[in-house]
Order: sequence, then C-alpha cells, then structure tokens
Amino acid sequence: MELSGFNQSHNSKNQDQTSLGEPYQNFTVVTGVLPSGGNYCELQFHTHGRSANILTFEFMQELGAFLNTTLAEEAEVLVFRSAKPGIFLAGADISMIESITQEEDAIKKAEAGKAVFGRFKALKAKTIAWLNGTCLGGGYELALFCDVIAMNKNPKYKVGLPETKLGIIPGFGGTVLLPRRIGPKSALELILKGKALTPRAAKRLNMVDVLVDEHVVPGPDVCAQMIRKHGQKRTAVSGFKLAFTPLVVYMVRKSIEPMRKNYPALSAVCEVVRQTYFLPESKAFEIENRAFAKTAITETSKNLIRVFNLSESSKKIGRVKTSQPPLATLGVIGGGVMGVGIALSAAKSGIFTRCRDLNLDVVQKSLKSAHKSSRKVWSRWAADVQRNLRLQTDPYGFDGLDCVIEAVFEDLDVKHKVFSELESVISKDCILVTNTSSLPLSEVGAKLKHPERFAGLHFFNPVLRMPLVEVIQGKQTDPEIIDRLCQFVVKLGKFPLVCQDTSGFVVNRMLGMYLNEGVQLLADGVAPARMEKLAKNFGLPMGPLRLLDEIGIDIGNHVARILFEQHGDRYAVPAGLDQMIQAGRLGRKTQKGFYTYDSKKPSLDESYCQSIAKHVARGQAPVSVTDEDIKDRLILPMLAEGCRLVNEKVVSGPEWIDVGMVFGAGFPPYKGGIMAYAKSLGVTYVEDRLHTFSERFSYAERFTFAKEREVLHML
Amino acid sequence: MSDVKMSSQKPRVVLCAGVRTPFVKAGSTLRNVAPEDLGAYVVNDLLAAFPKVRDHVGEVIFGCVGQSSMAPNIARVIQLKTSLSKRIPAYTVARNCSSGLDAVTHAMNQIWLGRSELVMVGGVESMSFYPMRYPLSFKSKLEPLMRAKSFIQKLKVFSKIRPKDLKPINTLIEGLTDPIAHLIMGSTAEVLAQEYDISRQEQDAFAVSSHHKATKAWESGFFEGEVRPVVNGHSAHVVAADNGIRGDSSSEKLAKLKPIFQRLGGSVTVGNASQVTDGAVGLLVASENKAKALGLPIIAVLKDYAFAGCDPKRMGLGPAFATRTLLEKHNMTWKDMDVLEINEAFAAQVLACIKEIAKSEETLGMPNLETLNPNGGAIAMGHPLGASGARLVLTLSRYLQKEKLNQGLASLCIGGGQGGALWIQSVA
Repeated sequence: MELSGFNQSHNSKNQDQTSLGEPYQNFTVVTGVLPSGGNYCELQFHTHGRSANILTFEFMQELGAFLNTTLAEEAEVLVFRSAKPGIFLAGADISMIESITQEEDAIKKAEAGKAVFGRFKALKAKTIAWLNGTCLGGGYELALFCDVIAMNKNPKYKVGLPETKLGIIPGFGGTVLLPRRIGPKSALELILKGKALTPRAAKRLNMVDVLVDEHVVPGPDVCAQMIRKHGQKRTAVSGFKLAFTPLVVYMVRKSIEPMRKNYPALSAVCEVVRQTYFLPESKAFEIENRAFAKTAITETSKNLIRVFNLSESSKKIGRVKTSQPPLATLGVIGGGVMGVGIALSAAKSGIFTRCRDLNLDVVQKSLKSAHKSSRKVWSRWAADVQRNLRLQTDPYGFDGLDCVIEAVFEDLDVKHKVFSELESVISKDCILVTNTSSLPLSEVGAKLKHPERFAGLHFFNPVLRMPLVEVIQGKQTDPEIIDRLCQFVVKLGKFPLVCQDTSGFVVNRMLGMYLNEGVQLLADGVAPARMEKLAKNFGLPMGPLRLLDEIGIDIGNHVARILFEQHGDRYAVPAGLDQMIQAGRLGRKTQKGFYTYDSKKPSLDESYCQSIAKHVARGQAPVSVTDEDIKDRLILPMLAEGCRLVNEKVVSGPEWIDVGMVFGAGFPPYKGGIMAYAKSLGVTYVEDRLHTFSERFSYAERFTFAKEREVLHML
Repeated sequence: MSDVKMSSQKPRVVLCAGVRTPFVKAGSTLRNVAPEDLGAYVVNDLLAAFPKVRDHVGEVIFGCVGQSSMAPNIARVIQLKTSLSKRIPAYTVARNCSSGLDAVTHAMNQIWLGRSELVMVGGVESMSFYPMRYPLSFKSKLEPLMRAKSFIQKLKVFSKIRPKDLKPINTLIEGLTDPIAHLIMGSTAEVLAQEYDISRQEQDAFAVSSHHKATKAWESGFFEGEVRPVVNGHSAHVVAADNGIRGDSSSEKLAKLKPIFQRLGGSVTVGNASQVTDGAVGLLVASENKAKALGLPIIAVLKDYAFAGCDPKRMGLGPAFATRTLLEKHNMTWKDMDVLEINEAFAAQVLACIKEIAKSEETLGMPNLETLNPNGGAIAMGHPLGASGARLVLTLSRYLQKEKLNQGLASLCIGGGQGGALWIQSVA
C-alpha cells in the first residue's frame, strides 16, 4: 500500500513538470515548479547521433542558445543531467580536437566553450551538475562552472580530466579551476595522470559536493533541498593552500621529468597552474587558452588521439552481435605462467575457468609468481578468483565448457596430442583455441576432426599486464567464432587484434625483425650499450638484447628458427644464441644472459656481449655506423615487415599493425604507432634508407622495400 | 498407512552430483575466504560441469549455522554470486550441526510436494569467520550517545562504560554452548562418557581409526572424486586436500593430550573431538524423472529421513533415536543397512550412540560396526557445522556406489538435543 502511494505522489510530481516539444536536438528541456514557487528547469543531455554524450560543436551552440532564452533567465534552479544511462558527458568531441591545425582556431574553440559555461554565473539561477553517469574532460569542466556538483553513487561511474592522455591540457577551464577547487597538489596529480576516480574517491577530494544514491533522480523538491544545503558552501581551497602552488609545481615537475620530453602537455599543465593560481579568472583563462592551443596542434597530440581511436576500434570489434551467447566457462590446458595467466584473467572477469595441469605444484608456482607481480591490484580480483578458478589434474567437467584454450609447450607433437585428447572429451559447441606464439594454426590444427571450431588466441607474457591479444583466424575457422573470441577478449579488458594465420602472427613477426637486427648489430661491432640506449631513447620499453633476455634466449632462438623455416632468409637466425644456450645463459630466468641480474638493477655484461659478437662476426671487420643508422636499422626492417603483413592481408589495414605495435610491443604511443612514425619520416626517406642498408649490410632481404611502399601510401 | 499411500505417488528423489571444497582447519589456509565465496565456488563448479542444469534449478537451499551479518540468508548471497538467475528463490536452513542435512531434507520435501524438480543444495561454514563481540551491556550503554548533544553529555555516556563491558566474547564458543543445559558441547560428550562408561583409551582408539580410515580413503583416490582443489583468492595458495587428517596418529600420541572441557577426571581431548573447520559442499538433488530427462548422472536415491529429540545434556545420543525412528517407520532392521555414518562430533558420543543402539538389539538388531564411518569422519576431516550433513550424504552415497552396496544411513547429533538420519539407497 505504502509503495503504491509513493508511486502516485511521484507521478503527480512528474505531472508538474512539462517537457517542451523538441526545439533542441542534443538535450531535452524539462521544467517544473519549485516548492518556493520559482521556476525549475532541467536539461537532459542526449548528444544527437552519438552513442555516448559528448560536447560536439552543435551541442555547445545549442547550449549557448538555450542559456539566452527567457526560460533559462527566469529559472531559479537549473539542473544538468544525462538522458543516457551510465554516461553524463564523455568530454569534448575528439574528432573536433583532431581537426585543429591552427593555434588561432584552437584558441577560438577554447574561448567559445568557456564563454558558454561562463554564462552560468550570469544567470540568476543556481546551477546543479547532476552527474548521473561517467563524466570526463569537458563534461567535468562544465560541472566545475556550476554552483553544486552532485553525483550518483555507483562505483562504475567515473569522473576525471583525462585530456593529457590525448596530449592536450583541459581547455574549458579545468586547468585553472580544478586547483582552486581541490588544491594544487591533488589537481596536478589528477590532471597529469589523467586518472578517472570513483564517486567516493572524487568526494574525498572535494571534486563533487554531494553524493546521492543511485536511484535518486533530480526533481524540483530534491534540487531545492540540495541548493539549500550545499548551495552556499565554499567550494574553493584556502588561499593559504593555494600560495604553495609554485612549490608544489616545482616538486611535481621533478617527479615527471622523464616523461616531459615526450609529452609536452604535462609541462604545459604545470606551467598554466603555476602562472594562473593568483590571477583573476578572465586573465587565467587567457593563459589556459594559449597553452591549450599550443598543445592541441602538436604532433604528439595527433598521435595520441590516433592511438586512442585505435583502441576504440579494437574494442568495437568485440561488440559485434553474435547468435551464440558470450563465453561463460573456459578451460585452460597447461598450468605454466601462460596458462595460469590466462586462467586468472578469465576468472577475475567472472568467467568460470578450469585450469588443468598434471602437476598442481607447477600451477602453485605460476600462481605465486602472478600474485607477486600484481600484488597492488590483486585484492580487487581476490573474490572473483576465489569463486571462478578451478584447478584440476583430471579432465573432469571439460565436456560442459564453452571454450578450451591450450597453453602447453610450443611443440607440435605435444599440441597434437592435447587436441586429440580434447576432441574426444569436449561438446560439439565448444570452441578450441591454441595459444601458440609462433607455430601457424594450419599446423597446430592439422589433425583436428572439426577445424571449423578451431582458432588461435595469442596472449602476451605477462598475461595479466599485457593489453593485447591476437585473435587468429585459420583458413577453415567459422567467422562467428572469431566474433565470439573478440567478445571474450574485450570481456577480459584487453584489446583484440584479428589476424589471418601466419607463423608469428603480427607482433612476433615484427619483433622477430627487431631482435634479429639487434644481434646482427652486435655482430657488426656496435657497442651493445650504445644500441640499447638508442632503442630506449627512441621510446621503446627495452633494447633488443634486454628484450631477448626477458623472453628467454632458448625460447627466442626457438621462435627465430620457426620464423626462419616459415618465412625464409629475411629471418636468418642470428648465430650467437646457440652458444649462449650451451653456456646456460638463458636470460632473466637464469639470472644471466646479455645482462646479469644478480643485483637489483640488471646490468649489461659488456665483455660477454663482445665475445658473442666476435663469435658471430667470424673475423669480419666492424662496420662503422652512426646513431641514426642504428636507430633506423632497428625500426625500419620492422616497418617493412609490417607492410608485408598488410600486403599479405594478414590484417585488414595498416592501422592494425599499429594496434599490435602499441599495445603488444610497447611502441611509444606518442609516436602514434610505427605506421604513423613512418609517415612522419616520409616514404622517400624510408625507401632511401632501406635501399642503402641493403647495399651496405649482409642479409639484404630484410631491407626489401618494393611492394611494401604501397602500404605507406594507404595511410 | 496413509504414509505408504503417499509414498507410492511421491516422486523418487535422487542425488545427481556433489562436490566439496577441502575441509581445512579454521585459521589455516582458507581463514580469509568468505563463506559465501566458498559456497559460490562449489555451485559454479557444478553449473560448469552440468551446464544444462542452469535453466532448470527451481530453488537454492543451503545449510549454515553461523551466518555472518555481512551475508544474511547466505544461500541467496551465494546464488547471486553465481551465474544462476535472480528469479530463482533461495533460502538458508539452520538446525545446528545437521543444517547441511536439513538442506537436503528440505529439497526432498520440495520435490515430493511437486514445488521443485531440481534443487541446488549445499552446506557452508567458515568457522574462521565467527566474530568476537562485545557484551550487550556495552551496546545498551552506548545507546544514549545518539541523544547526547553537548560534549559533556557525550563524556557522561562514555564514563559509564566499565572494563567488563568491553570484555570480548568469542561467538564460536558461545554458539557451541547449550543455552538450556549451560554446557559446552564437549561437556555433553563428557556426560555420555561417564554414563555409558566409555574410557579414554576407547575414545582415543576410535579417533586413531578415524584418521587412518580417512588417510586410506585419500590414498585410494576415493576423496578425489568429491573434493575440488580451491585457490585461496587472497593469497593465491592452492588448497588441494583436507589438512586436518593425521595419517601418523596413534593412541600413544593422543594419550599425551590433556582433557580440555573437564580438566578433572575428564576424557574428551582435542584429539578425540571433531576439529574446528572451514568448508563448503554443493549437491544437485532432483526428482528421478527430471534427472533422467536432463541426462544427469544418478549417484543414489534419497529415500526418507527422520529427526528425533532428546535431552540437551545428552545431545550426542541423537543419532541413536533418529535412526531408530526411521527404521521402525519403514519396518526395517539394522540388517537392511550396509553402512552407518554417524557424524563424529566426539568419539565418546559416537561410542555412546552404539551402546544406546544396542539397547534395541532384540527388535532391530545391530548395525555392522565394521562399516561404521568407513572413510573416517569429523575427528579426522573436521566438522564445518553447516556443511557436515551435506558431506555425509555425498560421501555415503558415493561409497555405496563405489562398493556396490545397497543402502545406508547418514546420521548426525544436533546441539540442543536432537538427532537426524537420512536413508540412502544406491542405484545398482
């Protein structure tokens, strides 16, 4: 009875509110009467033609126009909320930022945005930003201009200013207003990291004024109460705290020193905060506009936006509708580091996983190392892992699984055995997957009775941290299985990259070039330290020798052989590795490889590297090379291989090579991926360099760049 | 008579499948794992092994004694943490030590009544999770704090609190103490040891044989068929087997232990009593028709059950009375039963039950003592209160099936003075 009574009164309240036709495309205006008799006005956002709410040019125009109507001027309370579930405003339109090429243009856009938001203050109405969903970037800057920021408590809703991740600074007032609201230290941290916070964390920092339960929606009564309670509250930090801004900026700037060179937006944020903390808003905004404009036209920003778009398009292929339900249960064969990594990723994402290994001690060891390397975030997964990870030595229950992934040693006979055993157990709808890194699918699945339900998923080590998964389509694989696997990969929170069957797939074919070239450079007499440093300076996470150590010399050699057998001379196996394996220097796992790992910091074992170099060079005289030569020799053969991958139609376009390089190989995102980097170098430069290399150095096949150049024209 | 008529129409209830986590000592490898997560794990394992079941589960019933205030109606919490639909109703049953058995009998009732055809049943207990609490006086003295306005008033409220108000109470010990007889469970075993003249040596010998039988069952691979290794999600430790079983247990070793409940002249020690344990059990119980329609395996038929009351001071005798009631109801004698399981709350209590059962030897005969608790019991594996009943049903059913025996009784004594017994028939 009580419940229905509540409903009725609620309905009658709604009847007081009237919606005004459809004069605006991007939001609906709802009006009502406040308990005091004043006008209540609510804007419900729904950006036209977009799945999420974003601040498009038209949106801003309409908002500006609305603020000039008598309706807005006469309202006593003006509320902004979203009409779309889960998202308040995702920020400014990225394609708009991408298209900016002139500083003046950028300044104009920033000014126009601030002018619209600035109107809030001129109205007599108290404004409330009611964040009933995630609110990022420009959306939160809109909120910063309001009198009260309210947010629905749902840990899935996030709030933050992630602009620096796109190489720009918050340009609608965020860089100026946030330090004034929450203090310079928290503000700088938030903006520089681009981190989005949960409602509770945001409240703790005073980024929002009031948290409301998830089911509460704005209305005249609630909002009138909210204004009474929170409308007068001081939302700025004390001047005393602000006075420390220069000191805080100085310290923060030091802490981000290594990043500043490659991400100019970080310095720009620090600079704006330091220059504006004592200025009146109008002056401060001018400084912000100029800094925004400077960052918006940088190559870095364009590259970061490109990478962001790449990640979005990768996630998109995981959202294709399929006739079958998403995978709910998973089997993993093999309890090594790879197998357990996959099992943990799935279990923590709520997928019940059976991990089978004949020896549970092996599994325990892999689990412990996974636990150790992700201790900081582990507690968030604990309960899900508890409920969903099942270890077993027997094939019990495999007949009921939706999908089984094999993650055993890279050996064809072992894999064939595993699959023939599996085929006799699993149900007819179960998807069979191999997690091979170098063997082609056609060989792994050669003996299957039902190759149409067989595909590949190539996870990278360490699985829990690496964001990329290559989804490999065999010649006979049913296309819907690929869609379902992409869905699965996105569910794990990773990026899928669909590629056709080829030995090494995308990332290992590219990295194979890089690693081989590294050892070859060593043989050509290049000092190892010099090469490693150049690779790191370029922005790659590791030099080739260090990366080989991490992979393990034996595994690296094994993969190199497979690539050579499959792709021919351009993958000629570097000679020194055999000798290292004989000497038991297998890289990080044996504490010794090209580097030694006994102390905390790995150190390059130069004398050993030289002896390997001598062995490989077989008495040839060292070649003299410049730094530029070394860098190009490391990068350009990789690029050529990427072009070959596109030509062979392994991936559907050059942008997918960049997905692989950035998310799978750690190619610096501020360079936008290897294809974007090549474009910035220019096709002729790339061609000339590779041509010279092919004449100067041995194994010329890897510098081939004939048909490959066409790919760069596709960009 | 009307009972017989009813039973001819009642659907046959069968046990289709069952799994359990390892039973581990409280405070050991699963001490930080919430009981609802353990429960969800066994349910998930069953659902993944029999995916067709998911859309046919009519109800979820779990037994649990010490439900935490963080997960009230733990059966529902467990259900919502699995992939089972929200629309399925779930409830928790509690009858102290037989809560897990009660979950099974409730499922039988629901199936007999035609209210469900397939029930997800289980028992769960984390005895590590039993909290410490303040005396009630602390709470009532704090209550005026809500009305206190000024600082002085607040100070006054706090000034009334005395050290004895802050004395922590272990709710596990509190829960194991009978509120009517004012005896802790171990002392009720002492009462029986005295009355039925059961010596310390007899008790220790029984405990040793429990450990040895459980060890043998593990070595023969019997328990691997029901125990599912668990990963402690917090510490990433693999927990693969029961950890309370001592294969090297001997009467000499146990003789060294001091009586714990009755220091003077007592005979119940931690060595001949059940262990304090964490664990969960999940069972799939269905009508025979449903099981066949879904192509589920059938381990055993759950025929009937009985509960009986007795003196709370002598709660350990419960199984004797419950089994007697059940046998008499169906005009059976002990000759009809191949196996008897009595939950080993205390060695003294099991031995007293045997002596009590012997009192009706003339009419009902005697159970085969060779096959009493053939795979060991709670003295070796532990007694996670709400889970033990369900474990007995699972273990006994699987044992009958493995040994190709016909039928048996699973019984438990129940704190507060009751006994419960379930009649299980294998499907040969």
